[in-house]
Amino acid sequence: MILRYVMTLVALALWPMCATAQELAPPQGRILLTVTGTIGTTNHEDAAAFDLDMLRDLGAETFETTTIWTDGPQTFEGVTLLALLQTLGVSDGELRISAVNDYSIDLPVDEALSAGPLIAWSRNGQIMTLRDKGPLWLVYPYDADTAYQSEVTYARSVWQLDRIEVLRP
Amino acid sequence: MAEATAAPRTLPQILRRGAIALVALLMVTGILLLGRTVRTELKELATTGSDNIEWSLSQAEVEAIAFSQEALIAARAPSVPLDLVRLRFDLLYSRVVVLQQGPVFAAMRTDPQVAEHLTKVQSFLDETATLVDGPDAQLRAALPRLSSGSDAVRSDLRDIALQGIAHFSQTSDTQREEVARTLRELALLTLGLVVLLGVTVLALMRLNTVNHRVAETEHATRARLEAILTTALDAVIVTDERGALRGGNPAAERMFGYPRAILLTRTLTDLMAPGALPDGLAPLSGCGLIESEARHSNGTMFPIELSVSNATGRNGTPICVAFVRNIAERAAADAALRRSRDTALAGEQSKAELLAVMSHEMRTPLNGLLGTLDLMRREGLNDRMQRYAGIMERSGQLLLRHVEDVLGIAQAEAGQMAIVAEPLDLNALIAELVEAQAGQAAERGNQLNAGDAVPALARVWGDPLRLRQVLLNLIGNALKFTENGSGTVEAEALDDLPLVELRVIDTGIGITEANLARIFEDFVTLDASYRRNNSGTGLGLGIARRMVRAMGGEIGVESEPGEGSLFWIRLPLAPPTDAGSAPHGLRVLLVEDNQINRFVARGMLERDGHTVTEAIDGAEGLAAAERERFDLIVMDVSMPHLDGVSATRNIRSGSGPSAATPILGLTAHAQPAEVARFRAAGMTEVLHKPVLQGELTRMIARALGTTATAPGAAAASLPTAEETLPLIDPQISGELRDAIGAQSHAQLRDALVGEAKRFFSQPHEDVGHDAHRLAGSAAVLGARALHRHLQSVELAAADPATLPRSLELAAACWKDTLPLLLPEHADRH
Repeated sequence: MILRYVMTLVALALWPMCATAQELAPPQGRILLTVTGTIGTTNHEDAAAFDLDMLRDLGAETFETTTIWTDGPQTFEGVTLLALLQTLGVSDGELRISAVNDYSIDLPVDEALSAGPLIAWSRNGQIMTLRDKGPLWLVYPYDADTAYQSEVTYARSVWQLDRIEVLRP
Repeated sequence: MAEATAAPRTLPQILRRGAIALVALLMVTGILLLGRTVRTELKELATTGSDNIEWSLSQAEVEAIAFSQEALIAARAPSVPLDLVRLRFDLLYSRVVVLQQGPVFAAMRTDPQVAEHLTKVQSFLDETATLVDGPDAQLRAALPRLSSGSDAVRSDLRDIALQGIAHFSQTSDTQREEVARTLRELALLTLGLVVLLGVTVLALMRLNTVNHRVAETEHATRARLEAILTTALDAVIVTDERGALRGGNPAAERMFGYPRAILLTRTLTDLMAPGALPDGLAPLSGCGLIESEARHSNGTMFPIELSVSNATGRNGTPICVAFVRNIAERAAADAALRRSRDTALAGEQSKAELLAVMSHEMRTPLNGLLGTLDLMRREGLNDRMQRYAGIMERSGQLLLRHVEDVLGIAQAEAGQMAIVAEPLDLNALIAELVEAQAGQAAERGNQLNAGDAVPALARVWGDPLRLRQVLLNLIGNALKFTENGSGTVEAEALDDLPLVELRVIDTGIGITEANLARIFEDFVTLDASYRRNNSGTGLGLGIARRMVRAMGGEIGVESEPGEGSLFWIRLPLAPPTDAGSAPHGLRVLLVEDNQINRFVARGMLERDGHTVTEAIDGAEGLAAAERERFDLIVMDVSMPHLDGVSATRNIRSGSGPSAATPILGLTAHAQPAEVARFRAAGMTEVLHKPVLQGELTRMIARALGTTATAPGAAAASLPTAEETLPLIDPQISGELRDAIGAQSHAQLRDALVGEAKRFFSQPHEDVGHDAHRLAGSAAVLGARALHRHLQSVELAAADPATLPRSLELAAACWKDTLPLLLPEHADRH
């Protein structure tokens, strides 16, 4: 919990330096993630599209946690939602995160600005396929903080994730 | 003032405290348990083990329908690519994986029906996966079959969902019940705690009420006590064990002259006269009223009376509480009363002395007249002149008798009735009197007889002159009131010799009961109703009584009117104890202006074997002492020209041969202050008149300092000298009361009681001085025996050998005297 606050503070302190969106190169491989809406930069029509390598370039992170959908501890590798939003210069508004089967949830950007949630592409060293909740899974370190063991967080843990729309008033 | 003490804890108090502690412990435990339970519950509620299960269950069926439709569409339109079919399959597959692998569904999967459905679904998926992952042609060919197969799978998935919903609703019911049970338990625990709290509150309220009541009671008690102390007229002081003042009431502030703040910085020593109460207050507790002297802040001393009681103060330290009363006014009143009493008595004495002197002076010229008349009658007077001279002589004789009567009374009053004891034969004395009066008896036809001679009375010790006078008076009375009857004079030894009873019995007219009571009073004549003229002053029996008393005896009468009277006298006539240790053969100078006294004293001195040189006044005595050396000088105090005190002073200050000779003073002055003055002038011893043989002998021995060698003699002589003295002389006591009033008399009496109690119960600094003071008080109230004993104590003060015995005798006498001085007895006088 405290760790979260500290990280939030660090993030807020670093925010002004990263507020400006970076230029994005067009994707080379299969597109795993498409971000639309009010974003600072685009590389594919009106959207920012990412293949696996581009996501990796944003900074790969790893954590281990159990989940209510899997058996035993799982190691996830991915990029933090925070890093993605910084890349796109998003600092407020809401995120509409959707899955391949059109499951979608709305997440306020404020609540995404912690280092916790990870957009994972790999579980236990295996690239996740569509049959195995891939290609991307927004996972939280549920074991690190009981606050993550809530239905809201579980609902936000979108698997088979492929789209994010940034909504700004 | 009120001091709280730390009471030891009682058993019920300890039990109560234990119960309260136990309740508190239970409450704390309950709160901890409650806290823990609530925390656990909150934690469980804060986290959840699943997301939306119903969504997951139904979504599988939804994906199966989607896949079926996509397969059907693709089967009907062969040109459509198969990407969407593959995507739908993957989605269906991932949904089933969730059901197959999700821990949330583990319990559900154990259900055999669910397991069977899942196996069927899985086998369809496995079979289909091979086609989906295979080439398009094979897949397209299998599409119609896959569509119908997925419909079957859909129905399986629906059954799984229904089973799952039943399973999870049951689980959720169980969970709710658990929560409900926990909440019930919480409610019960809370209720218990509330009840416990209520009980505690009630107990505390009750405790508070009790404390409040106790505090109120204490407050009221304290207020009442303070009101009493504040309004008290007596000073109240509180000191600690070292004498430091701890409290005092307003009366104490006024009495000692300190404001309260300063008073509390003082010690007992500051408040008392130097040397008063040297041991502090504590030892005086329970001693009743104690007199002492206190010191005002301005330095003046004042007498106080205090009573002390010990108590326990705060923290159990001992404290003393003293009630103090200023008795300055009372002491001053006592002193004034004593002075006025002394003055009154001195006045009475000088009046009596004046009367005695007057009578004495009248007798001398009367004797001259009668003597001359006697001479004249021998000259040749004619019959008529002889007759006149006879009348004159009889009148003169009558006048002389009256004067002598008055003189007798006056002498007795002035304490000058000299009693000269000597060996005598009482039988012979009675016989001689009867014979001498026989003629007079015959004049009225009476016969006078003497009783049988008693051998024991042949040698007794008494004053023959006074005995003869008293008996003559009684015989004269008996014959005067008897006609043609008889009179008898008899004697009897009672209880061995010391006491002798003499009786004069007649067969005359007797005395009425009313008169019996006053017959011995002065100026009483009973012949008013008698036909004969019995002339007299009415002083006869009064004088007789005084004489008998002077001899240490009693007189009384019994009578029946018409049958006769019996007058009796009881006298101590024992021979004196052998004065063998007393000195003999001294050369004594006797200085005394009164001829009779001189005669008497000389007789006594000579009887003891001394050689006597007489001097008739102070000047002559002084001259003799300057000229010659004497072994002893006996000096009267009151003399014309040069009184005994001045003469003594001159002898002592001179260088004559007798300058160091012991001087024995004789005085009628009983005032202690006077006696002290005589001693200061140089008198060795002072002897009070009337002088008794035994006492004179003893005093001479004392004056010469020979008693120390034979203390037994002096001690032995005391009882005989004092046995005869009354404990309380009703006459002295009565006259004093008449002079100063009954109330003052009672106060004096109480003062004597108090003074004597202190004298006999406390140690003395100067026992002689104290005894002297008390003796004065005793004499004034007529406590004659006590007076005499105390004088003996005073005399013995310097002599450690005889002092204890003297004090013992005095204390014994006091024990006998005290009851007569107590109000219930004394007031009857």
